[in-house]
Amino acid sequence: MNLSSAAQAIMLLTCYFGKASNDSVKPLSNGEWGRFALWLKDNMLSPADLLVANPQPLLASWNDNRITTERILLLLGRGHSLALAMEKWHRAGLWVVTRSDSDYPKRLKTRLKNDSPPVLFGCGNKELLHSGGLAVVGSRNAVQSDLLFTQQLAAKAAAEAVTVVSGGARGVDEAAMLGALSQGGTVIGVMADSLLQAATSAKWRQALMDGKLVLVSPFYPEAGFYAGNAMARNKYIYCLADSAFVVHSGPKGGTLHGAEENLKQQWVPLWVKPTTDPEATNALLVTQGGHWYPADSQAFTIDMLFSAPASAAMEHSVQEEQQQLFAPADTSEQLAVTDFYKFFVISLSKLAAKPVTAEELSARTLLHPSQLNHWLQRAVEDKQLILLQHPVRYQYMKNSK
Amino acid sequence: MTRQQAELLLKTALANPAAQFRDGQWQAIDALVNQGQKLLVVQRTGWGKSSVYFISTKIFRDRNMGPTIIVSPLLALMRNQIESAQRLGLVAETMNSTNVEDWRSVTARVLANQVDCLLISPERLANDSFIETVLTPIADRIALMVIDEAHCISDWGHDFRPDYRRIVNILRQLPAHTPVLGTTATANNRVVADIQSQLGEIQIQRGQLNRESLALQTMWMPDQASRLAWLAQVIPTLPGTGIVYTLTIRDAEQVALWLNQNGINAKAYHGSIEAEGFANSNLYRQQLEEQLLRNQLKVLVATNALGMGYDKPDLSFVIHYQAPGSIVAYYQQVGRAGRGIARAVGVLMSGVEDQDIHEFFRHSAFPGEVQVNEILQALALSDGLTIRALEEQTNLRQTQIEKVLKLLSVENPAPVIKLKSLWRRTAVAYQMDQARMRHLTAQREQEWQQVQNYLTEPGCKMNYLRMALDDSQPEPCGKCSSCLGYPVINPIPDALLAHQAGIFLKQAEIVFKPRKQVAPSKADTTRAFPVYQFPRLLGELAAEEGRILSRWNDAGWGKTVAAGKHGGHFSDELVQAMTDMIRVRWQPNPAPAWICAVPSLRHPNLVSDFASRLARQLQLPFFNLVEKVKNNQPQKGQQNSFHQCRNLDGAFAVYQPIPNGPVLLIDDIVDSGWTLTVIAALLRQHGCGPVYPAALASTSVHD
Repeated sequence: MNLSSAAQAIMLLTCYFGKASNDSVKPLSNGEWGRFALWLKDNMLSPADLLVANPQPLLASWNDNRITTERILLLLGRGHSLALAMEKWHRAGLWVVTRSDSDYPKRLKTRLKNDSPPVLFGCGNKELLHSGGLAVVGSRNAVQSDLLFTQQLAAKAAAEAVTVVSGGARGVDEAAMLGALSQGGTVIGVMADSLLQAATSAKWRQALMDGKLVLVSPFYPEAGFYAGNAMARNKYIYCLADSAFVVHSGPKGGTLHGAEENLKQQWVPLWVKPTTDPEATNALLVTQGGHWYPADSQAFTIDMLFSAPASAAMEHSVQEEQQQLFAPADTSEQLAVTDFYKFFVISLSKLAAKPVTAEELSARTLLHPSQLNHWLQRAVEDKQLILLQHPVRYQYMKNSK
Repeated sequence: MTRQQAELLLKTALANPAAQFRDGQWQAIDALVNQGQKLLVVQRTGWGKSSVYFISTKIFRDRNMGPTIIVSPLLALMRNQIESAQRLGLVAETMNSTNVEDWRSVTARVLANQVDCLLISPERLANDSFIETVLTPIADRIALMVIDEAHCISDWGHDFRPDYRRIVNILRQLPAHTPVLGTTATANNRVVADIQSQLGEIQIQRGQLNRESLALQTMWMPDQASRLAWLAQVIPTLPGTGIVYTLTIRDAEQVALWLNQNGINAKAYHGSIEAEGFANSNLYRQQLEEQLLRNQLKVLVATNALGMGYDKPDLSFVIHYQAPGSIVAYYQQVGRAGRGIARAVGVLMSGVEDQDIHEFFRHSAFPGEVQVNEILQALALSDGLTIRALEEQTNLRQTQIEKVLKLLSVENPAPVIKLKSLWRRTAVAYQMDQARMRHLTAQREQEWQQVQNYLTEPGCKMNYLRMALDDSQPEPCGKCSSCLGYPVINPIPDALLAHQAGIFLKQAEIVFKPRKQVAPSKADTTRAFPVYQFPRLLGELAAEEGRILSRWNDAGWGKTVAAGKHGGHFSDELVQAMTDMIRVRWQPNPAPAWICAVPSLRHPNLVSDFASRLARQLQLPFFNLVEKVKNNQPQKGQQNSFHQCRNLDGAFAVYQPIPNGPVLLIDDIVDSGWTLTVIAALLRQHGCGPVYPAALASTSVHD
């Protein structure tokens, strides 16, 4: 792989190529790069234009206290560092996607704007970065039952062809990723450290080679564990997904922090698994806008997690009700059976929030009219819908159970 | 930076106020320092490429930029280069395997910005831990990278080296504004085009080759004895100093020994040559280069390990004992002669063995697909393995494993990578590129054909070489044997000398170095010898130094041994040869008191019959006290130490009582030497005196 000139310039300005030392010049942070990129754009310059023997004249009108021209020139002068590092990373099977590349994930750009990382290092199937999916997160030190649940949740996602997005850490992250892969599913792992190590480990190797897994990281691929990076990494997990599921959130730490950030920024709907752990902050997340995971074992599909519930109906507290849905014995049957009527009713909470006619519903759901009429009648009988007359319309009952 | 300013620097560098740039020198400096370009300079040795990179370095340093990295197979800068660097006030340091102990201090000085030029070997640049610990910390500030002998980058080059493949991949990742200088003295159009296609935007600067002083001659001389005789009679008649090139390490040593016996001050030079008083091979090689430079030697007998870029302007002859594989390689070697003097000779001899040696080189250039897959498979099941662990899991030779890993790890992307001390499988799918290997092998065959054509070329020899290098010259040189119409040097070897050389070849036994250590760790030792339970360090159990009469199939006794092995009987001629070797030349002290043979279940009588006849001849008693008690796998099927040891564990039993005194332990063919080592250890365990191993031939690839 040969990088484009623009990608080279972005890397020179923003990447570490070795372990940071005090006397080496500091690459631009995401925010700093955002500012500089904006200035380049305003001055009709591409990052690639900076790769000339003497870029100084181009920077004549650049003026920023934090980002001196000298710093930019020093950063751009790191061509040999870039080459040595890229040769190794590429040799190890890693690739690079920069914001200037067309295959940079749009979800990140849209949700994070100027704060999206200028460079992503990765290994495996790059296409998966565009697939969205379900983020599954939780503690490193989760209890066995939570790990089992996570594995089965991920397996179910796999069965429904939903990509699982997680952080590659031990505990819930790893259970989610391995659970999905074991069912032939697709997985995005957003790594906070040691991408190079992970990309050559027996655990992930086959899935990487089979195109089922992509490991990606905005950090120096040879970086060791650093809590700051682990925190910063969470936002990318949410922003690469379309919905998120918190299995277990401890009283403090990465999971809680990441989930709260997601709720505050309203990136994706957040689902929370009920727990009996008194230390857990799962309930706290629900008070902040998360939703309890819909525990109805008959009706649940992963697909349901991709729209925020409008009704409290699904958010009944199920503190005591331990989930049987993913009990090991019956997974295969469970995955095969889906109650479409229940899904229909859940959908009505949105579709029939205001009175609608049968024709409108038919057009929105693409159901056959006879099937639709049958279910509408049943929903009225079940007191899920109110039947309105003149003309005949249906409306979802907000307090229905 | 203007030409005038740069020329002032040149005058300083050469300590010559009248110095002016040679054609192309200023253009090269300008391209690097003013335009940040990538440049390939094809200029003859002695043109002054070091002036280009030293002056460029000086200019970059004056601009407050970082050091220049010179990647070169040279072990050290030549003396004149160091001097001109010093005159420019530049500090040049070297980092390669010769001075590991200095790395830390050199690194510190580089980090402290006290070094202007850092000379490193290509194999250093291909070593991840070197890059990580030495280069990466300073890489942010590197101003210029110089790649010496850049023709090695090309597949088409005569001398393609895996380490250079890594270099290409680094250069490819350099952004447009980062300057690079590649230099070579030998690259034809195809090589230049290949380098250009691999590196993309790179400017080419090409000068003329010229060797006006060189008189060329070729000689087809099938047998080694004649060639040895000719060397011994001709070299004393040649003025000045020179180089004799051989194809193999063993030939280099043998020829050097022969020349010395004939009163010629010669030394052998090859990649693994060692000498007492030198910590490692490289230090000794530097000393040899230095001795030749100072005319303290008449001749160096060298393999192609004699560094590219070795520059001795008054070298007056280069003689090839065997023909190299390509014309470009030949030109590069013969071109060392006569750079700065009016007359020099270049003689190419070729013998019967050349063909086989090149065939072997071509054949062993790439590892087999089975080996590659075996190693990838073992790595795929792990989170990283050492080479030793791979030996256990694959039954491949350590050298084979290293070769496979080298081949795989210079791919980009590569299926394997070394992180810390472990080899790890990456997520990169791998399929051996058979087409590319066929292409390279066909290329080598074609190049060898070109060399054979040169041998018989009736036209001007120099023009033939120039044409092969795309530097055609319409005028014949007027100096070669073709132009003269008679030999430059009389090609007929003296009959008496040839007879003596024949005897010399038959007395060219090999020293058997006993193994002193079973395995690198105690755990490895235990796994290798669960029955015998030898200690890791053999100590008292080790054999003495031994002797091996010949190399399998060589020009001395090797062919006779091979015939005996295949015919099931070793001739009396060999008994006599062995007797002479032991009595006349070896004379082990204290002298052996009895003889014992290595047993075999497959050929129960072959060695014991030979040993008993030898015993009679030496007038020593023969006691067949070692028995083979296990029908194990053939030892030659065991490819590495671990499997060689495992296969012998429990295979032999020793009868009591053991006679007093030292014993001569006889075997026919030696490969790894483990059989002799194990039996010697068993004999010693049973109270035997010193054990002297002796064998008829060695098949070890290390000799």
